[in-house]
Amino acid sequence: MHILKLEDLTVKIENKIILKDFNLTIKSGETHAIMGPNGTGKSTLSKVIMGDNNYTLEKGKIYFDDKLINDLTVDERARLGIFLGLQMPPSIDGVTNADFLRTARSIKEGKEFKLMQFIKEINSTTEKLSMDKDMIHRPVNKGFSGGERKKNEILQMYMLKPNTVILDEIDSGLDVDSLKIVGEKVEKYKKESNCSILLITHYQRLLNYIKPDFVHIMLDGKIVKTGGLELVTELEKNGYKKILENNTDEVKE
Amino acid sequence: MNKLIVNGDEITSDINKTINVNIKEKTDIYDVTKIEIEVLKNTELVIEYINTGITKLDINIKVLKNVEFKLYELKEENEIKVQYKYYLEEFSNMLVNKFYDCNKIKELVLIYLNGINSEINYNFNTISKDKQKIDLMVYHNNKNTISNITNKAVNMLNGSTTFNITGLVYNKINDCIINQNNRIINLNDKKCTINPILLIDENDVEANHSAIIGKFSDKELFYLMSRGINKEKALNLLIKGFLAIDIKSKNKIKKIIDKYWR
Repeated sequence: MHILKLEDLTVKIENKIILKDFNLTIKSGETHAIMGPNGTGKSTLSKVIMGDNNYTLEKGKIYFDDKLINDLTVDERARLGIFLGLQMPPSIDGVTNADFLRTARSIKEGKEFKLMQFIKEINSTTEKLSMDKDMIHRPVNKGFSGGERKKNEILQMYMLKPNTVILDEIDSGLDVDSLKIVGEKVEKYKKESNCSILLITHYQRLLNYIKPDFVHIMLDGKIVKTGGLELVTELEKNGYKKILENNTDEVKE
Repeated sequence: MNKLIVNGDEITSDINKTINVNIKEKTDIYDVTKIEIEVLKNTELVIEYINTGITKLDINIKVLKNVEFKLYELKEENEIKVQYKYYLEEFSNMLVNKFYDCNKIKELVLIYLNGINSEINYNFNTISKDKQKIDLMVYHNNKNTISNITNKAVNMLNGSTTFNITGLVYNKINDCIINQNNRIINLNDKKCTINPILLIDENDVEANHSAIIGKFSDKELFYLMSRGINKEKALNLLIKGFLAIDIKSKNKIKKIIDKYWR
């Protein structure tokens, strides 16, 4: 059992507060979906958990299995088993997917990941994700479409076997078929590994495949409402404004 | 494959009938060894510099009409001063791939595209640990000539790099293509300079140049590190990607980069 606990996080970038007293606890086997209007700090949250030093943690604590990880570097956090699937994964010229993944996997295992085993595993995973096998020999994300980049993130997730998965708008740029493949594979991975998932999304469509246990609505850097899937239905029907109006009323009461 | 090995003052060659190599004795007061190479047929040549002394060379290469020539160079010398002159006749094509792991370098490269439809593709990659200055001039002396020049450097320790890259096209030498791409990754705070210069006295020419000096992007480093790869190893991967070049000895470059970034 792994637990990621975010306690009273206040985060700034260029003197602007993005997250304010943010609290959330995620346990193995749980799926949390975070939804919210643009600019409320959802992507910032994912980067802060991963340790991106472009953001300043003004206040608060991040615990992983009761260990304070505020001062851990990005790679150290990743080696604990935290994985971030990015909204806009960068392309890296000259570094092939194969070199990148084999290096990462070797570091994770503490020894060189045998080539034949690597090829076998990656071929089987690319097949599962309906990816072109040749893309493994191409530079990381170079010339990839938006959808290919997202599938590449899921390929990395499968290869690195994290225990805590954060997916930042993994559904954007995916066509209907690719969305189904990605959604089903993420759900399958969760069932196989009992990992925890933190999904950041704008749309219900992804949640048709990855079923959240908790849905959180985020506004102005903090969670303002938590519920189940019914909250998503309400959101699709009435939009954020209505929900937040109701929420403000609740607060006033 | 033809091969020349420069070991300090000693130069040995293993060549076939596709090229003529003439190594001249040092005669001038500047202590320069002159090597003249004539390329007769389609072929490849590897030049390796394996000593750690101070070497001064003047290398002249003439590629004959309709000949395709590929030159690969690996330099691991301490200090080296070389002047190259490449002469390309009509419809000839030359590929130059160079990888240097040196301290001080002072190099002058003069490329003469003398023949109509001649083309050069020049790729130079270096790990700079001290002052390195490369002056390169391409003379488009005939019509329909093409030059694609790429220079890349990674500065470390006391490394500082200067690229002075000049392309020249005279009046009435039309339909030429000139491409210059120069990049320096600065891993220290030493001064770097790129001077991309295009001297063109003809309207009907396609010319592009780019010059970038900077570090690897934070986004790239963050991405690699977010997969558990530590900063040093992430740099190793990025530098291998940046400096990747075919010099007919791929593992050699990997070993050199592993030596500095584990």
